[in-house]
Amino acid sequence: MAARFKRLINQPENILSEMLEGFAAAYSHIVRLTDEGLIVRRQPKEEGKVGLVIGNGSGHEPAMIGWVGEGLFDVNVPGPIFTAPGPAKLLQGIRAADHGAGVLVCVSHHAGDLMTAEAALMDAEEEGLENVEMVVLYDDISSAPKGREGERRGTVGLFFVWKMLGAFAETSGDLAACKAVAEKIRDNTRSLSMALDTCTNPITGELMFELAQDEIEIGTGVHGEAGMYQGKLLSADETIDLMLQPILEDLPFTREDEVCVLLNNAGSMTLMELSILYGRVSEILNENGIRQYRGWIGSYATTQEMAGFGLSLCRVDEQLKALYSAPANGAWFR
Amino acid sequence: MNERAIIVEEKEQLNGSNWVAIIRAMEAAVTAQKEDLSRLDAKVGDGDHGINMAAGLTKAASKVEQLSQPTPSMVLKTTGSSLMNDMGGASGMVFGAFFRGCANAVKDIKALTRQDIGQMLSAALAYVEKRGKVQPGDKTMVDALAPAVSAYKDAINNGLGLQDALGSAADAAKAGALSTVEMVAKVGRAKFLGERSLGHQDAGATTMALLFSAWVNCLDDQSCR
Repeated sequence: MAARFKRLINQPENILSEMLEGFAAAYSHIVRLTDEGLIVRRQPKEEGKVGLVIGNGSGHEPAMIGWVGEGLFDVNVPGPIFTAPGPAKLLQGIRAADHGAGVLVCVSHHAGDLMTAEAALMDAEEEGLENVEMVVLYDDISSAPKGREGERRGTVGLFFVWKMLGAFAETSGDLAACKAVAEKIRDNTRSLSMALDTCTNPITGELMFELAQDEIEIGTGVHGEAGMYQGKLLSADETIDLMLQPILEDLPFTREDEVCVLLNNAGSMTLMELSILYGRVSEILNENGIRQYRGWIGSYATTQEMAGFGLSLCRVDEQLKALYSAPANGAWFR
Repeated sequence: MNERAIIVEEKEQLNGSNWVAIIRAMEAAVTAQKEDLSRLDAKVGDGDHGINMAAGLTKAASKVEQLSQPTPSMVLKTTGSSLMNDMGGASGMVFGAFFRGCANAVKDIKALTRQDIGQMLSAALAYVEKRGKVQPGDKTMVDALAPAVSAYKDAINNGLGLQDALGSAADAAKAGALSTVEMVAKVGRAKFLGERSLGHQDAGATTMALLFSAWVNCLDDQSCR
C-alpha cells in the first residue's frame, strides 16, 4: 500500500467538470447536473419543505455529490479539488434548494467553507432572500480539546447529521426545527480518524503529506492534516483500543447509552480490515454496556487513495433512531 | 506647489489602466513561483496553494483586462470577486477580501495618490482581519500584509514618494513572511499541526509578499505605466 502516482484522468483542469458529467450521466434517475455546475435532485422536494444545501471541496467522493437525493440533500455545490466553492456559486445552490420554507446551509467546519458560507449568507440577505440559515458542524475530537468543541473541524461523523437531518427535512417545513435537529445530532457525535499511508493530490500529482513506511498517524483530518499521534504500526485491536477510549470519554458515552457506529474508509482500506476493526469496537462497546443501534462500514468521505479510516459514534434517542432508519436514496448512499 | 512638484505628484498617481497592468504583473510573479509556493503549502497544508493562486490570478487578470474604462476601484473589486468565486477556498476568500477591501476604500477615485494608497492598504488590512478572523501572529498572509502597511505609512509620513514607500512595504512584507517560520499556526488547516507548523514559512504570507514585490517592480521598470 502506498500513495498512487498513476491515475486515470485526462487534463487535470478538467477533473471536476468531467467527474460531474460522468456521475450525472450514470445516476440520471436520481440527480441532475445544472448549467451552473450544481448537483440537484432529479425530482425536487415538494413545496413547503426546508431545503438542505452544502458546498465542499471535491476529491472526497462519495461526499458530497453522492448524498443528493430523497431523504438526504436537495443540492450539493461541488468546489474545485479540496477547495470550497466561492460564495457566488453557493448562493446559486441556496436558490436551487429553496422550496418556499427556507434553506439550511450546512457547513463542515473548515476555514474556507465557513468564510464562503458567511459571505454567501450576506449576499443572500442583500438580495432579499429570506429564511436562509447556516449550521456549523464539527465532530473531530483531535482538533480542539473538550470544552472548545466549537473550534473542532468537521470530519467523518457528519455522516450522521446528513442522514438524520435529511430524513427530518424531508417532512419538515420548519427551518428553526431543522437547525435544532442538526445541532442535536452534532452535539451527540464524536469522531477520530487515522492514516496508515498518504495519498497524492490529483491536480499536482504530489504527496498530500508524508508518513514513514512503518508509522501510522491518529487524528488526521479529511485532507490529511497532521494529527495527535505518530507512531509505529499497531494491530487492528490495538489501534481501536487507542482510538475508541478518547471518543468514549469525550462526550462521554456511558452505560445504557444507545449509539450508531460508523467506520469510514478514507480510500484504500479493505472491507476485510474494516470488519475486523469493527469487531473490536463492538467488543469494547459491549464491555462498557453501550448498546449498538446500527453500524455502518464503508466509504462515505474519502481522500483519494489514502489508507486509513475514521471512527465515529453518535448517541441516539427514539427520535434519532427513527430518522436514521427512514428511507434515503442518494446515488452513493441509500 | 510648484510646477515640477505637480508633475511628480501626477506621475505618482495610479489610474485604472495602471491597476490593470499591476494585477497582470502580480499574476505573472505568482505564476512564475507557483511550484515553490505549492511546495511550501505541502509542508503544512494540502500542497495546492501556488497552483490555485496562479489559476485564480490568471482568471482575475483576464477579467480586469476586459473592463472598459476601468477605475482603480473597478479593477480591485473585479480582482477580489474573481479570487473569491473563481478560485474559492480559504485562500480565495482572504486574498479576495484583500482586493475587495482595497476597492471599498477607493470608490469614486479616478487616480490614487500615495495618500489614497496608504488609506486603501489600512482599510484592506482591517477588512481581511475581520472577514478572515485573523490577527498578526496567526501565521497567515496578514503577517506579511500588516508590516507592509505600517512600513508604507511610515515611509509616506517621512516624506518618501510612492515608489520608495512601496519599496519599503515590499521589504517589510518579505521580512514578515520570513517571520512566519517561527510561528505556530492558529487558523486554517495548518492549525491542526500545532507545534509541528513551526519551522515552515507560511505560503499565504509568501504570496502576499510576492504581490508587493511585483507591484513595486512593475513601477520601477515602468511596465505598469
